Amino acid sequence: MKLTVKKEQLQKALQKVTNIIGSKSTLPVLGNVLFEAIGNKLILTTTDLEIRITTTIEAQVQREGKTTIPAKKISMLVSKFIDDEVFLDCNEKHHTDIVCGTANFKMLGLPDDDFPSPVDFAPIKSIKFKEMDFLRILDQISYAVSLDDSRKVLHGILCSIKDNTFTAVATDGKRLALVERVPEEFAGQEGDTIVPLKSAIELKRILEKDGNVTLEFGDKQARFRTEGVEIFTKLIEGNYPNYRQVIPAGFTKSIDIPVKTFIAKLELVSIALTDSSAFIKLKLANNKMEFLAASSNVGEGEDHIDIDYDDEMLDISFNPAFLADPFKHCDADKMMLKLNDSFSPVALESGDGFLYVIMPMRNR
Amino acid sequence: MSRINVLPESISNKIAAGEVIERPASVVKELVENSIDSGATRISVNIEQGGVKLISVTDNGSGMDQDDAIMCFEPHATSKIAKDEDIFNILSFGFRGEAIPSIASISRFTLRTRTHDALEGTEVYVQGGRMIKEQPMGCAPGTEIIIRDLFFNTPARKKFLRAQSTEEKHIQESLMMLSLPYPQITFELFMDGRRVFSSAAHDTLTPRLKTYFGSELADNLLPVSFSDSEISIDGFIARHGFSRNSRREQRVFVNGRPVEALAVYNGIRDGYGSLVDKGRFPPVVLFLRVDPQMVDVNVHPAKREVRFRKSRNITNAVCEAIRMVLRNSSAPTVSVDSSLSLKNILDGVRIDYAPREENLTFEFHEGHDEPRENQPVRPVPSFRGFPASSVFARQSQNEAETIKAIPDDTGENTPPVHAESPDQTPSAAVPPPDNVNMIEFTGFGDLQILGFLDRTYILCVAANGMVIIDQHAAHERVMYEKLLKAAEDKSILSQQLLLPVTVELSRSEAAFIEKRRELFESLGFDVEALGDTTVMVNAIPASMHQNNAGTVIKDMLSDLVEDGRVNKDLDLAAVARASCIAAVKAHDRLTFEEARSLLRQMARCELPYSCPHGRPTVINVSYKELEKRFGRR
Repeated sequence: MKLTVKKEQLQKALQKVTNIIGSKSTLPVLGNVLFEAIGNKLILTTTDLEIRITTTIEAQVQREGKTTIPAKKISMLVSKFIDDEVFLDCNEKHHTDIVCGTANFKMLGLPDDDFPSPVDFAPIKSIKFKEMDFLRILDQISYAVSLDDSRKVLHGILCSIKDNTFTAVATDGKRLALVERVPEEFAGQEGDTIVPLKSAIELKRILEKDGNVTLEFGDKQARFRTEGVEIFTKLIEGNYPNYRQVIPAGFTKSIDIPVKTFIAKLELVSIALTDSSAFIKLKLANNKMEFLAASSNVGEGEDHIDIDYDDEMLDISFNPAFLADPFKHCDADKMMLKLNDSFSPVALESGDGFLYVIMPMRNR
Repeated sequence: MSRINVLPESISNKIAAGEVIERPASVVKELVENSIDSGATRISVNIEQGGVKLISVTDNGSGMDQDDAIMCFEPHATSKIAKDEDIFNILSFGFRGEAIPSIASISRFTLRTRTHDALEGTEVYVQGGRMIKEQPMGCAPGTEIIIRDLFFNTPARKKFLRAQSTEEKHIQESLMMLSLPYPQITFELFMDGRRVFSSAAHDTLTPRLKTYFGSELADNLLPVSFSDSEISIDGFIARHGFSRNSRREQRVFVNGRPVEALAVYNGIRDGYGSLVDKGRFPPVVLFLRVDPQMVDVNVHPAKREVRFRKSRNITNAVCEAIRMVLRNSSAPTVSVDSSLSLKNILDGVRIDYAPREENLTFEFHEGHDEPRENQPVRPVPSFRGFPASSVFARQSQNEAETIKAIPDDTGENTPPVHAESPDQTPSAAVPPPDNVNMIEFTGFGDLQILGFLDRTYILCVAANGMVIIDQHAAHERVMYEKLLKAAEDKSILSQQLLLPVTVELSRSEAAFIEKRRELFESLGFDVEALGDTTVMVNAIPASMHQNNAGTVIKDMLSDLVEDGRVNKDLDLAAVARASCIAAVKAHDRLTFEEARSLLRQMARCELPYSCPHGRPTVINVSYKELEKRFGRR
């Protein structure tokens, strides 16, 4: 393998692929980036055996070939180069000469044969989104994914397609975030798949302003493709809980909430709280929403916003972080708070297909 | 012809002896008690062949005149009780007048005694209960009793004696016990001409405790002093962390008499509470003074057992006395053997607290090489077990935690101790010259955090040494106290679950939940039985960050199960303890801010020095120990 690439492009490509590389892999080759020079292209690939990321950049290839180079070192090296072009020349021992301007390195790689080859993949459905749109979807829900991987299915995002509507769901069992969107294109079978949180986060990293992303789902794998980058991931097997069941069929009260003011007051009042077992109480009455917080070590605080509400007085307590999350991740000005009483699930809607359901806390 | 006869005296004495004199140690006890009662300030005991050949007790007490010297061999002859009521006001040891005639009936008994104002003393020789001779004799003031050939005429009893070493141990223990309440009396014990101990009279008990129990334990005994209208309690209790596998070292004295009293043991147990594992017993030496009216010592012939009239009050007083002391005590100090690695030390500490181990002492020469069974569960990478100090610090934690940048290239070679420098200047860290054995650090709030070891220990600097905190245990303690307090205040908050979790349990576990639902509810769980073996969890305590409520319930039950069954009488504390342990299974690297927050919370704990199961949360390694290890002194 012998080629010349633009330093800028190589650096960007490495940033895209090296995030999944862990520091402690049992297989040394998994700490390396696979370099493949074919035609006038350089293809970079990394994998942690769960996820495989591939990106393609243009290169002037003098001799086609493959090798692997330690990911961290080559990333550091390229990021510190100051000249525009990087020249790579790999010998049969997988020693790669790396030259940029006056800098001259030789890096010891591992044979490309050791690098795991991709598994066969047969997509059964394909969904296309604008990259921007899909990034929004992931932003709006991924914070609600369970961090506890002992309940495997909740450690991912449910991607469901039905009646030409794409639904993404994340929940940790205490709150649930859901987005419904109509994709640009859809082909194949309807159905549910669960994408691991880690893969969704990798996908978020590569999504850009322009362009489209194609999501292809197979039985056990999925492939996400954007311009120049391909993420290949295992899916979480199992049945996602029936989330529709927990969304109340109807609400007796609904209130418009100004997003910016709400989050500002919520954060303000929460200063009176110390630990995460604390709660914030919302008191609804007389066209006011009061925020009340108290802790034994700090003291207490309260504030309110004006709302449109003249129903019965209602006290309802929440984990403040759970309450703040949807407001922080929405770009609407207003959200609709829907509720029935102090202890049943409460919903937040932003009108663009986003729905958040949260369980109140209860004092015993 | 009538068949019922009054037993001849010689036989009745032998029968009494059978009850009072079980073994040579009983003889020593009876005689030394008499010596103490006689006002002696120096008592010397000499033993040969485990007491079978010779027991001699010499004191410088009041002594007896000639008449008394003969009279004392008559059964029920006593100088200590004159009238009926006296028996309810017993402050002396002996009172039944059984001891001397009993012993005399089964041995060759020589008594030499002289009162201080008499010119000559008396010698009496009795063999098998028969007085052989009595004669005036010159001797030192006080009493000397020499007993030879104990059990010579009761071969059956003699046969049942244990090995000489066992009998010697009993004698030694017995004399130690007798001497503890009387630091102002000098005690000496000789066995076969060798001095076993000699404990000079002193104002306080401390030197005697050192002599008997070694300085390791003695240095870690905390003085107790408590009194209310009914009872006064003095003595010493072990700093938590020191426990034994039997009650043998819980030495209890009521009005100076070593006794076994369930009421007091219960008080000790309650006082230590969660600081001591079930089946472990912290060593204590407790002296109770109560109105003699309130205690019945006349239950057991050897007066070993006593009963209290208001045993509940006794239990409460003991419990309160111990709690008061423990609340103000600091963590145990670890003596570091300089030939051991730090890891072994940490592990050594760990195993010292493990149940089952026999003859535990707070030292490291045993067991530290054994593989750890109970390694803390390695954390789920993206779970943050400790609450950040601000609720909003947790925001978008999902991403923040998961999108961790690639560890930089030094990652692989980074030693486990992070090198981040603390933001405080280490001025507090200057060791005072020649610091004493004990490290006392004033509070968790003052600790300066150095870093983290193996994602498990927080390393801190205290005023005179290093403090290592087991973050896992510490968090358990913090949570436990919070939960219990909230349960008491009825301010428990529970987070209801949007997706309730069903858990499969064993029949007895499910039955336990069903039956004691209120316990779970008062801690913030909402569990309901769906069938014989299935329960549904609808809500968990707000302070638990577990997303998998099912695992928590299961882990809790596995902690509560004993021998495959759940004890139906478990109390709130036990369930709370189990829930904390279940909740803190996963933990991860802390940030400095989180660690500080944990320390602040520890500072507010009532008993911060051990986890709810009794393992220590904190150990101290003093500069002195470090200097020892580095050969600086």
